[in-house]
Amino acid sequence: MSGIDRYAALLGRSLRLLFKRERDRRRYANSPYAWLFQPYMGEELVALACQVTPGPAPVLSIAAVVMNQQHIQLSHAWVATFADAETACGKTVRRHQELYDTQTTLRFSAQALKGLAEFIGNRPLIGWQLEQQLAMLNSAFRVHLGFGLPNAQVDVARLHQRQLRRRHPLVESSCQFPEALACWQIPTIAARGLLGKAAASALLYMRLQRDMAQSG
Amino acid sequence: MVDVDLSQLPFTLLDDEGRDHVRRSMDLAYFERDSIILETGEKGEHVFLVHKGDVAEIDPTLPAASARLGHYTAGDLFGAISILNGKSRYRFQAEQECLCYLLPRALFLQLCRQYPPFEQFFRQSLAHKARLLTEKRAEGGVTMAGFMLASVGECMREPLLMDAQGSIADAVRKLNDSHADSLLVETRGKLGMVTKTDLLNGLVVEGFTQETPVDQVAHFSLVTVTPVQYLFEALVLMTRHKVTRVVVMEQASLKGVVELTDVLSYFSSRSYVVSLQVEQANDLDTLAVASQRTPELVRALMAQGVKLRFAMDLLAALNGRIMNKAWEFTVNETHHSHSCLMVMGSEGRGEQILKTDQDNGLILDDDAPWPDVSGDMQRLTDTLIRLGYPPCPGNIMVSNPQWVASVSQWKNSIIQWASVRDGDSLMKLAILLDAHAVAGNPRLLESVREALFEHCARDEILLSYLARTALRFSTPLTLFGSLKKPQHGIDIKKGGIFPIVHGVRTMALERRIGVTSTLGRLEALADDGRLERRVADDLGEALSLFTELRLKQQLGSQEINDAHSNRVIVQELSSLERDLLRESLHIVKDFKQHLSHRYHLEYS
Repeated sequence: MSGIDRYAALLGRSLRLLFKRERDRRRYANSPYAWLFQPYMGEELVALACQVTPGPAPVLSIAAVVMNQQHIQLSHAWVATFADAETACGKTVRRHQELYDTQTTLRFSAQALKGLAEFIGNRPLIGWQLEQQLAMLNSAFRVHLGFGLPNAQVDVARLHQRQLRRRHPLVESSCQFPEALACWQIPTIAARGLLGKAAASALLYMRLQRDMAQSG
Repeated sequence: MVDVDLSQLPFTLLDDEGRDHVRRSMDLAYFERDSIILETGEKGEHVFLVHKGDVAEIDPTLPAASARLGHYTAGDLFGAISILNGKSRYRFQAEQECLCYLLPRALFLQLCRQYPPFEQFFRQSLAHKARLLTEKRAEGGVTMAGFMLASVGECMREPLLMDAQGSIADAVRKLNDSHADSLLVETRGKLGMVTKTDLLNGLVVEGFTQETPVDQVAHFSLVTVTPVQYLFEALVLMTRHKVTRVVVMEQASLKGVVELTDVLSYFSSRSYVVSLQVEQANDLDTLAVASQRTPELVRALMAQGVKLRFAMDLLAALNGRIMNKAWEFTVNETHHSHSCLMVMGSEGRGEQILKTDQDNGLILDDDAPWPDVSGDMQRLTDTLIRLGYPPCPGNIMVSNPQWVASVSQWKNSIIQWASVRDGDSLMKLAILLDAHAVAGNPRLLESVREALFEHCARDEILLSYLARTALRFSTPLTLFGSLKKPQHGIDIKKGGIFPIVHGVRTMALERRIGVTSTLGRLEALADDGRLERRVADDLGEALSLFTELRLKQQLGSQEINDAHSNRVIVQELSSLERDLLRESLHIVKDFKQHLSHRYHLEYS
């Protein structure tokens, strides 16, 4: 019985998601953001990596890079740190810029977030433990634009777990990003900071896609 | 921004801004195994920099066995030539899963416009790339590099010119005033050199008075160089001609004088010390000591990044002097004028760097009275062994009566070898073609060589037989990349050196070129119009590269005749060296095609 319950719950969840998406699509049909809610028909994806320092004045760094099945367009990446100039701790912002190699600092504002939304468009997002990474960003979107990122999402961590379970059902797998990279023999990409992480998750995604295609 | 390593050529030809631009514009691409990255005839859209994996360069028009032209691994660059030429000449295919950084075509072309050296890097000939490599090696904080690249013009002093009618007393005064050792006099359009020793000899030995015109003691056979020649060449000339100063001339006008001390002040290495030791040696023991120092000298010169060509010249001159001395010690002076000691093989070509086997022979005048020639020659061979030249396993030595003969006997042998044309005879002809006189009367060798040319240069069938040997070993291009174990590797002697040396030798025979060094022959063939200048230069550079790689291997391994010493392991080379090796092997391949076309070997 519990099995049926689980499937019912899953079905309920995806139905809810479907309804929500349809509702949002109608709600924003006449806003400038309408196109973000349209289903994506292309080949491209956006690999994303976020890093957040929580607190009363949170600082958020993000790298997004467009990819398709073969190319990762590192030259057209979107990399920035979001912080509120008045309240955020200057040291934290500088640390973000150093550690994650971001060169632009933006304020949390409708204008800046719109820029990011336009870069991502309605393309699906991929990332390592994407939901956690996006939590803070989504809340910022809600505050300033009234909606969270509506894109389809692929969590590479979940793909990794699933593929690993398929191959080695009895092995207890770890959920650390560097270990996953080593496990799938992803070469280190010579890109520093967050962009490197985004590119690495893109490569991991490509690798897992191939593995899935091979194992059928 | 991508943090890719741009500290290698050709990116070092850009400035920081350019490199930054490259980093900002790089994309990353993944290629599956066996997928085609760039197809033949396709318009290149990117320059590819391999980050991981292997890429093969394939000519799809050739049969599978010989289709593989090249191999690129991490750090290598390809696709640039395709962009410059408009379309790709070959197919680039991923051998394994590959990650490549992509540099867009537009940016690449823009960089080419902005940084001419960057563009030249892709357009230039092999010769230039090799020079870059040498310069790069020399950068390792070695002061010698400055010397090696210094030209005569940077080191010469003002000539001290004196009127020919001046007296010896005037000359002495002038020398003292200017603290010089020598001066030049001009009479009837000819230049002569007067040194302090000449003045002393003139006064004391010849008994001239102080009023004698100075041109009486001058000597007029001068060794000259041009101001643009490398200083090192001047040193080679001094060693070869046993003089301590050379005159610098430019288009028949006097520019200056280079003295040995000037060169030595630039060059405080061991080469001159060794050659001095050789000159001063009065008995076999001291000569042996000097002779044993030559490997050390080679090592020092190589470590200092000396261009191999000059090192070879210097070593050939030194070896020649050592042999000559050994000859003087063992052979009675009465025999010197009617016999000629020749060295053959690599020694004869002047391409022997480390002491390899002695290949030598003796030519006697037809009516030379020399009853105990075999005993003397046995002693000569033993002496040479003592001096560090191991005996020849093929027994091509003067101790073997076969290689001691009179001029007419030699001529008969040549006729016989040329008509038999079997493997052994062809080998002997080839060996004899490289003969170079080191002691005795060189005119005897000239007459034998003349007969050789007379008899063989027009014999198309013989030439074709001779040339065929050059195609005997395949060029190891297909082996790239699939070699993993260190005991494998590319046989650089069979795959690279031998085809060039032998092919050039055959062409030199056809064109009756008397020079024996391969580089000299190439020069002469280019002058002759038989080879295009560019082809000749490329072949010369390829040969230098092979020799250098082999020398490194030999210096590394303990025994010179070790079978592995000819093998170069591709994986151990730097990416630029690998690039050079690949291009050089391409050149060898083209040259073999040229040979097979010229000597009609297509169907043999």
